[in-house]
Amino acid sequence: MATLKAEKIKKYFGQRKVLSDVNLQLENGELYVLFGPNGSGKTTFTLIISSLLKPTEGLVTFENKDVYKQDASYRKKVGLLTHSTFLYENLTGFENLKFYGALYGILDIKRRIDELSLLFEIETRMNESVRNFSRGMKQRLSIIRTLIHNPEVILMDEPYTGLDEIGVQILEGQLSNYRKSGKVIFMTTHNLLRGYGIATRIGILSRGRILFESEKKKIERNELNEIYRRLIRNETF
Amino acid sequence: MKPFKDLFILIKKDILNELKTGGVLISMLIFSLLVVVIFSFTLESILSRVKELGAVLIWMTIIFASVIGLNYSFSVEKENAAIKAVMLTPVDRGVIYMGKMLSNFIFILIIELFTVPVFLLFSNYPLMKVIPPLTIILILGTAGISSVGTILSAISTSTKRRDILLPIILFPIIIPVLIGSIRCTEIIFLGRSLRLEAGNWIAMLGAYDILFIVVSFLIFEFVLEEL
Repeated sequence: MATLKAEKIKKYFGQRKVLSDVNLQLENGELYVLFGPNGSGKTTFTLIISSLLKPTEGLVTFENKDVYKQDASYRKKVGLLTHSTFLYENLTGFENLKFYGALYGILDIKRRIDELSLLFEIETRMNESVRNFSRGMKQRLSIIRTLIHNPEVILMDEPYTGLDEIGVQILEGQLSNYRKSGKVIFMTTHNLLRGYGIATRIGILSRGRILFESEKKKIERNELNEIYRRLIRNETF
Repeated sequence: MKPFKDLFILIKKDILNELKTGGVLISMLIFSLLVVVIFSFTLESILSRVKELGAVLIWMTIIFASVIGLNYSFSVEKENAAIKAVMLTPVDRGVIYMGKMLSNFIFILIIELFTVPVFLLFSNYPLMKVIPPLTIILILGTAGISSVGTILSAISTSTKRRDILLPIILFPIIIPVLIGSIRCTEIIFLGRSLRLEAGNWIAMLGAYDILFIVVSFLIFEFVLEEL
């Protein structure tokens, strides 16, 4: 069983402590949603478990192997979506996806791009320069980029950014399918309503610490709302 | 074979990106042609007497035009943090460096392809006699500029004053390349044998290129982490 495990993760930027002793274990078929206010460390933690950013202390393992020592074998299995779209503005949507698909060694890139662009309903815009895309269209394209190589581990930092209602529904439908197919999914969001709806497990991060964690089935949405407000208020004041 | 395939994909993307905008290559070309034409007209009488001066002028033009391209080299990767997604693909980090270095090498060579013949024509150097040996020196010198320039461009891109910083850190490090290239070009312009008189300089240029390509290949992973 594939497990992504983060143990005692600490991260400092200079003197500033961003994460302190964060532990998390993600299993196949699980969709973990991490909530937290701005500056709580969600993005930093997402980058760390993606292997893009090294923690100051702590260990991240996938299938019991250190992700920083696995090199390409872990990177091949990870799909990461962040605030930045990771897209080349001068290239078209198709050229962007073809470039990333080729780097992942996908054999029938065109078929895969057609399939995903249809799914996310941007197939008619694929030959336009990304510079002309709206924020929502860029986000859809960026989600396709994240999924282009059919990753085993899907990490999404604020995936709802810029998405309209239809975009959100398509994304959630896909994430739900991926979860059922046994992928490991981790997501961060401010949006309690959306996050709660899709999660199988939830956590609350504030000031670099996970203050609360629960199986979704063990907590009602209103209860989560109350706990979130209380914890964040206590941390802020 | 995979590293070569990846290298090809990375270079192809850089060329495609440049073809879509054309901005940097055209800026480099206009700048270098302007400098060459201005030098040729203003220094016409001196150049006909002092042939060696042509070597200095041509390499000064190349290095300043290169800085324009090198400065842009990683800013396109930083826009939307695209380099982070490239880093997350299974491509070796050293191969990412090689891809960018070879793209820069190709762009600078394209500029030289237009600028050098114009300079030779304006300055009355014997074109057919000069071009074959000069091609070797241009390739060696350009490899030196692009190998060091690429890694320093990556370093300077993550700073606030990258436009100013790159030439400040690049010029001192490429002094050996400039001196070697200028000496070899002087010998060519004076009509002497490159093989007999410039063996040591050519060896030095080759060694410099290999050294900086290998070192940059190895350290690029750490530079990328700061991008």
